[in-house]
Amino acid sequence: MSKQDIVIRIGGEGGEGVISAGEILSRAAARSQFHFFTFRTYPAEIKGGLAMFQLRISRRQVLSHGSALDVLMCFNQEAFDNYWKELKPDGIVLYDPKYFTPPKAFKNKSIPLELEQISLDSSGTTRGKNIVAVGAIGEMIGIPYDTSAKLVEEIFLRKGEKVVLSNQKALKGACEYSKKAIQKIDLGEPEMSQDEHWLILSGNEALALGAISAGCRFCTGYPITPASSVLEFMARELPGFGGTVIQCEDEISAIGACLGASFAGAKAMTPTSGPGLALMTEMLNLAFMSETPIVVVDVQRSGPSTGMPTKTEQGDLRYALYGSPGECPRVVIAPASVRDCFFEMIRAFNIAEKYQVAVLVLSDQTLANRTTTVKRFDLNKIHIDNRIQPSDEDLKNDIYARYKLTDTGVSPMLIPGDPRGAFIATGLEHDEYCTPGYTPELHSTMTLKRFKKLDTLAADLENGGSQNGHYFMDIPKGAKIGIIAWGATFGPIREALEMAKETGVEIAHLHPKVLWPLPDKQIKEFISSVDKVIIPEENYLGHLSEVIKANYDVKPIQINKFEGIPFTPEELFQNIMEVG
Amino acid sequence: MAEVEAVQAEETRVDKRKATEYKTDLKPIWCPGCGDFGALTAFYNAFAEVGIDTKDVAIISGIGCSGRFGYFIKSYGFHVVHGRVLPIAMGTKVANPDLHVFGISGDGDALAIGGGHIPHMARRNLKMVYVILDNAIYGLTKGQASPTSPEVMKTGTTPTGGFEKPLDPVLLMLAYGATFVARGYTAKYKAVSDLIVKAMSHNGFAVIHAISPCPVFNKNVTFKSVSQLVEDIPEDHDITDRMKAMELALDKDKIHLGLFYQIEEPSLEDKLGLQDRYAMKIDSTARMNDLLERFQ
Ligand code: SF4
Repeated sequence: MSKQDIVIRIGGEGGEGVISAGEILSRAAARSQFHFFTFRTYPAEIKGGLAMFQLRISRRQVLSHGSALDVLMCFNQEAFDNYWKELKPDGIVLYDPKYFTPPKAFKNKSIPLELEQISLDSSGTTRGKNIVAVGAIGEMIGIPYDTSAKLVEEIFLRKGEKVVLSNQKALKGACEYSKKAIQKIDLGEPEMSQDEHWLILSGNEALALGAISAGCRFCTGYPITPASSVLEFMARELPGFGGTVIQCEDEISAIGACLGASFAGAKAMTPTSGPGLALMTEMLNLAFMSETPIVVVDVQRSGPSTGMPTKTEQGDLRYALYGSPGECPRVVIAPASVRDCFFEMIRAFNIAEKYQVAVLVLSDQTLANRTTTVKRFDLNKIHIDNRIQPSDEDLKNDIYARYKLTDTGVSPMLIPGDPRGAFIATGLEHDEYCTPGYTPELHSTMTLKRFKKLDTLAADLENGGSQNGHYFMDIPKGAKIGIIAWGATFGPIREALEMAKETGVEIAHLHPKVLWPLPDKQIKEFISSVDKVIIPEENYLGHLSEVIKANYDVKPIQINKFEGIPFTPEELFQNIMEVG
Repeated sequence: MAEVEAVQAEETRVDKRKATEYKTDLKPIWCPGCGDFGALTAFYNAFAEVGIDTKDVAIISGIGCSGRFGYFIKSYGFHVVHGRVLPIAMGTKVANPDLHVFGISGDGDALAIGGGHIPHMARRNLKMVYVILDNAIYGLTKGQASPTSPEVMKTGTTPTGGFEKPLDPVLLMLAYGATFVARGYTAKYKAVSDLIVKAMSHNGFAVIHAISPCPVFNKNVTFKSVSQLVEDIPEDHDITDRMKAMELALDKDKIHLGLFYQIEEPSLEDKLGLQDRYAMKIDSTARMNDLLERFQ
């Protein structure tokens, strides 16, 4: 059997090794010149409950976790019951007959794979159960045994030689069984060349790597799903770069500490999720008023309130844009892919520092936890912007004007410890010299100054330069329908549009990555070049849709999914064709 | 011009500075007779005595009458939102450990809205000086009950008298494990100044509870009433004895003034090894490339 790509799902009880099987399999795939894209859901329970790992493997780059399943590996009955409906007509089921056997009426091809028995026979213990799954599936799609065996060694070495050996035996047993019992799936020749360097990254890892590369050296946070892994990553790695990470008593403290660090000259960020962002609101306003650079990452999860912490939703855009008492515009950035998580994080810091503003980066649960192959970043090509500091000229004969009125709205910022002056950053309305004041003239002058920075940023974005790539736009000839979307729906949309193209329908696509300030020129161009605008979002209200409606003369058609799980390309394709 | 003179004064400074060097041109907006004036004078004097350089000072102040503190002292400062002095001070100090960081809060800022931060700052033992200016009332909002108001006190929000017991900041700090706990009274600003000088040389979280009456809105806790109750901590008090310190704080008849408690423990900066960390020469690009290797 030959296919362009296959979607494999492994399901079983949380804690049974489902997730680790998927992780090992995906790394082995990448080392065998496959591209992949993973999607996982965690059980809500701390131990137990249904866990699943989905892996889409292909020789070419894949942009989504795929639609229907080619292979469903069930560790137990529950996994089968929950997932069999998602199989393709020719999709196969692998099952462990010790735990269950699909009913007679089940039409799809089902192959027994005795996970525990194979492990026991080849290694003397049933513990290699998940490695058997890795071996059997690996053999099926053409991952060489040696590649997986090497990986098993790397992973289990810290548990001792014995564990390595026993797992390798289980792997071997599984490969041999698979050779006999399971038909191979041919995915074609590799496109990835051997000497290209590809990274295997999750969105959260890419965010953290991006932050460090941007120069972030201070990071605080409060544990919250699904953002904790950013904080943990930073806690492990940042000290090695000369930075500091502190877990705080709450999110207010976390963002407060970042503001303090930024005031003292450090590039600072705090990762959180919706409930944490809510607590940070007042500090975001202080950042705006005191013109203190800061980056806040919101890895969105399904809300409101505690909601479904392990599920996804694009539910925080309205809050990110408008959630402030008083008028406090924010720069909002939404990475669209794992690769974007790295580069948009750098953009976030560059903007925060250059314009002395708070920047919110909106990721989400699926983007955070998915892993995928990402072309290795060329660190020498990264452009870094820093805050402007006053020149000696600025400080000559005069006291330092921290909030000096300038053409760009941006004022040179002294760093405490600098002997050339002093200032008091403040959340009170103030004049150029930080002196509090409440006169009508002062408030209007300073409001204009602060807002001017956003106009400057919008103009800089439009003029390209180092800020390039803040949106994706594709308007194919003859396209009558246009999709505007944001965030992690990018991949599924690209693939849905490819499906449409195969049926002869060209569809345009605009995907702003900087959501505020909006790419005004491009939106106007886009809207005027198509007859219909469709805005698919993983939320109920249609947040981007509201923004577009409010700012442009267009009535977008909304497609909203609010189930806590992401769009698949297939369902998007169908929905788009229906409403378009 | 004052700036130029100050710079000249700095150049000719031999040992100690003049307290006036630390004054900004801004006139304090406090009501005449406000206790905070005493605290401000204490700060000027303490800074002069230490001879500290204004560029090395960062004053983080909260919201309330005391929040204006930073505007009147020549130094770097951050006038923040209500109750968040400590987190912002922490970030400032950790990012630049060379700075002398001071936190200024009122009783509401520190113990009501900001109360959740204090135990954690005590646990961290960050090297900074935290001064709680306690007038047992919300002055800026014109007279509501605060966490240190006497229980029976009638205020705008407790028209028939309060119903919550007052907190004692000294007792709390001792319980939380702060490593330097002192109490001053701004009417005795020289003593407050001495405490600030001592606190500045303490390697950890130094807290000074400074009673600072509000003659406008607090008719119960007044200079007169406080003056009758204050008494210096006995000279033979062992400042390393936490139990004794608590006993003094629990004394119902007297308000003890002075240093209750001081012990040496590693500061947050020590525990994080910030000095070594910031002294490292790091090739970030090379290091990042190494890190990326791990994801291949
Ligand atoms: S209201 Fe009270 S605390 Fe505030 S400035 Fe006036 S006297 Fe001082």
